[in-house]
Amino acid sequence: MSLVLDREAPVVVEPQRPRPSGNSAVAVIVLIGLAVAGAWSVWSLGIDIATIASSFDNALGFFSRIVPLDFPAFGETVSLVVETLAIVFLATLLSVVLSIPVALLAARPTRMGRGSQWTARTLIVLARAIPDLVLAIVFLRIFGLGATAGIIAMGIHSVGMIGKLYADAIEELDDGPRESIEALGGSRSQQILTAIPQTLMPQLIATALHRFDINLRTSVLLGYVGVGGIGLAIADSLRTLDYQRGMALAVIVLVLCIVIELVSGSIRAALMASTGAKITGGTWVDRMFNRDRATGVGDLTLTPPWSVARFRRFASAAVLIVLTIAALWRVDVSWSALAAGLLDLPKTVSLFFPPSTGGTLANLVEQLLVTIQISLAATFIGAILAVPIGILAARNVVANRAVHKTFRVLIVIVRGIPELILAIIFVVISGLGEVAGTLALSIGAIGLLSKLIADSIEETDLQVQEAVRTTGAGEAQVFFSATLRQAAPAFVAHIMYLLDTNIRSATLLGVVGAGGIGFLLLNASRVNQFDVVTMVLILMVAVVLLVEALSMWLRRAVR
Amino acid sequence: MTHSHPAPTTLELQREIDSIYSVQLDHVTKDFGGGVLGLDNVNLGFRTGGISVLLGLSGSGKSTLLRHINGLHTPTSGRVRVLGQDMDRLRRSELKAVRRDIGVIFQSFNLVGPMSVLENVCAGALGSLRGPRITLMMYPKAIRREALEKLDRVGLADRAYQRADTLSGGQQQRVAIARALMQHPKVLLADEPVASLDPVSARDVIDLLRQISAEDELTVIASLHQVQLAIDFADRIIGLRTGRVVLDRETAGLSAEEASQIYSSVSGMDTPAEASERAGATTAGSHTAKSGTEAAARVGATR
Repeated sequence: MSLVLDREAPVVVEPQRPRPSGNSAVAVIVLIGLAVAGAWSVWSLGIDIATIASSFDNALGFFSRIVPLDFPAFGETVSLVVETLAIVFLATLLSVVLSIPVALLAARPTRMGRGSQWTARTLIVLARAIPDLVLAIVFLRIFGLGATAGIIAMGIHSVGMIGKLYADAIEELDDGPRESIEALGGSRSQQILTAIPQTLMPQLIATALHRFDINLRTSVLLGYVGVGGIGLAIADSLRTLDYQRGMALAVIVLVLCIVIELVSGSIRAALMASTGAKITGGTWVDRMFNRDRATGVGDLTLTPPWSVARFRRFASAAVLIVLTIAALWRVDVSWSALAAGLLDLPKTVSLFFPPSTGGTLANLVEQLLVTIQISLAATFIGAILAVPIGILAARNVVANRAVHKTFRVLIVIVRGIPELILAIIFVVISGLGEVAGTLALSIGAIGLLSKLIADSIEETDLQVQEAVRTTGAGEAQVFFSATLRQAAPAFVAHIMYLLDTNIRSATLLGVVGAGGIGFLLLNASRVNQFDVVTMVLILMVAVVLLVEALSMWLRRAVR
Repeated sequence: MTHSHPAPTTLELQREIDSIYSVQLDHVTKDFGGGVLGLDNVNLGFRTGGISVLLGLSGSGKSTLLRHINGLHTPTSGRVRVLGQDMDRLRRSELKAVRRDIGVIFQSFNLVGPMSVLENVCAGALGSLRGPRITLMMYPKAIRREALEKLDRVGLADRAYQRADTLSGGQQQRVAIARALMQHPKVLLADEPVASLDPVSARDVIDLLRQISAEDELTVIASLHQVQLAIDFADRIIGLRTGRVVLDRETAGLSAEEASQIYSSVSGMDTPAEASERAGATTAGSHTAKSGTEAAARVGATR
């Protein structure tokens, strides 16, 4: 060893160690600060082994209270499921319809001007920042109880995600085809409608399906404020302490979520697989429709032949139309209430202004802090458990197939359970309050974060690991010096994203009694203190934007 | 300079010039900001019905020049005149009308991948149709029939109902040519039309372009970076370097040695002969820039 050093030493000039840049030093301090705040939140919320152990006792009592599960009659179940699906379907459809023009205005290649681009981007951010629950409270006031308010609320809030993803997709698209239409003298609408729809269609549908999954979970929550479907039935039975029925309905939601996720996942996979697929000689469908298809140039038809692709396009459009009509019929949208509500809009909106603290600002701030504590604590617990789970689930870290498969399946199962159902279960087990919310959010956080972590480890450059391995490094050395080093910035980004979503979720879970400002929100809307709803909303949006700004800065600083 | 046109004195003279030169660039300079000149005082007149090739390394200003001709760029100073119209004085609708007469072929074909080949060709007629078209069946039957004829002309009628992105690169470029033909263009611009193709497909596409331009009497302006392909294809070669015209000559009767000089003047590199000439000399200065201008001067002198 020393021999080698001796030989090298005279030649190599010791390089100056560069000072770490100011930003990354501050970033580390901020990250440590967040971790300490997370740990402190866990402690101050009173979550420790003793609490969890006593919850375990409660859990036994909980099981005795919910067994036997009291499932509603088959017809009623189907009716509830169909109503929920109809509401979610219409909400997602509405948000797609709203998102397309917004995204076209917000994306650089298709924007009309800087002013309208800025407006569209602001609309997207606003739609994302205002929770659908708050929108539902507003629209219930405007349109009366029922599905309409829920559909519009989810439809508008979803623009925050769908509009952003659509705009991103348009910007990532190759601009060449659009430019070629511009070059040949095509108008703006010709450029957009020729070059974009067919290219983006698979992504548009995939995004909509993804949002459908999310909206299905949200629709349960909206039941608490009076939007119909399974959520309303759960809220009603829990209010009357009918846990046997409530938990049976929760099981139905759970199964529904898993089924829908599987269905939409397979549709998305099929969509992605069919893009750019080579057209072969033709399947039996081609042969059935085109028995006497011409082959010579002279007698080629001017109408496209009925290929599988064309048949599929027509069939999908037909199914979409039928589903829309069926859903509209099922939820029985009352158009007259809609019109009356719109006419009354100014009067209703004036109910929400000016914002008021509804008595004490101190109480609001205190509850807001509890919400922040819950999300910090849940993110902390989630991160501590999700990092090892995510690492073990990554295929390029654990060579043993059985191990990483097992952890992948575990993650899928945990992710399948809606946080809301978890919150309801924990509220029943450990009583109303922060502990229930934190535990529910933590489990949700584990599901989301461990998937993100496993994915970003699998995305690391394998060749770097190979390079380190060829130097004779052991597996642990390879992991720490090659794999983890590459994935670390992604970890920070994911954890900040988790904190961001947890603040929203913590607020929403408060509605079912899991502590924090959400409960104030629900109460204010029940006693018609709409000015307080506005105040809560302003506080929440401020916190969310603050966290988002912090996480944007952190992500750039650690890169 | 045989091709630069004299300053217009009367309207009549201008008309006469317009009839000889479909495309005229008059002291065109494009400043991209920060002192980066895309084009530096370019004076060129492109004869109606001729095939001209712009040669140069990437970043030499070939694409920038082409984009000025169909109005995707506007000059910082100077004048671009196409088919008797001053491009920078046109209103939006007039600009569209001129663009209809200018077909463009792109390096990356710019077809809409998931759309059928026939619909892509039909899109070439959009400039003369009102309103957007979202499926093939929204194009008038006459347009569809014509598109099929154009496809037949480029030899791909049997692929009409296939997705465009399932074709090979050479086939996609031929579809793009068919799309341009739908405009009944008077001028055809081709920006590196064969740069993404293998040598055999490249030769096919160049042959097709040559044949079509002869049959339809098109004014063709193409950018290429292969000297030999350019010499075989064009009537006239224009070399560009850092936005300046460094070479401008007819290809008729070009010798192999002159071709090699063309290469050096465009790329700014020494030909083997120049390199050995300079081997004895020890001046280390700016050889590349000097040899380029020298070569340009020499080429100018041979004319």
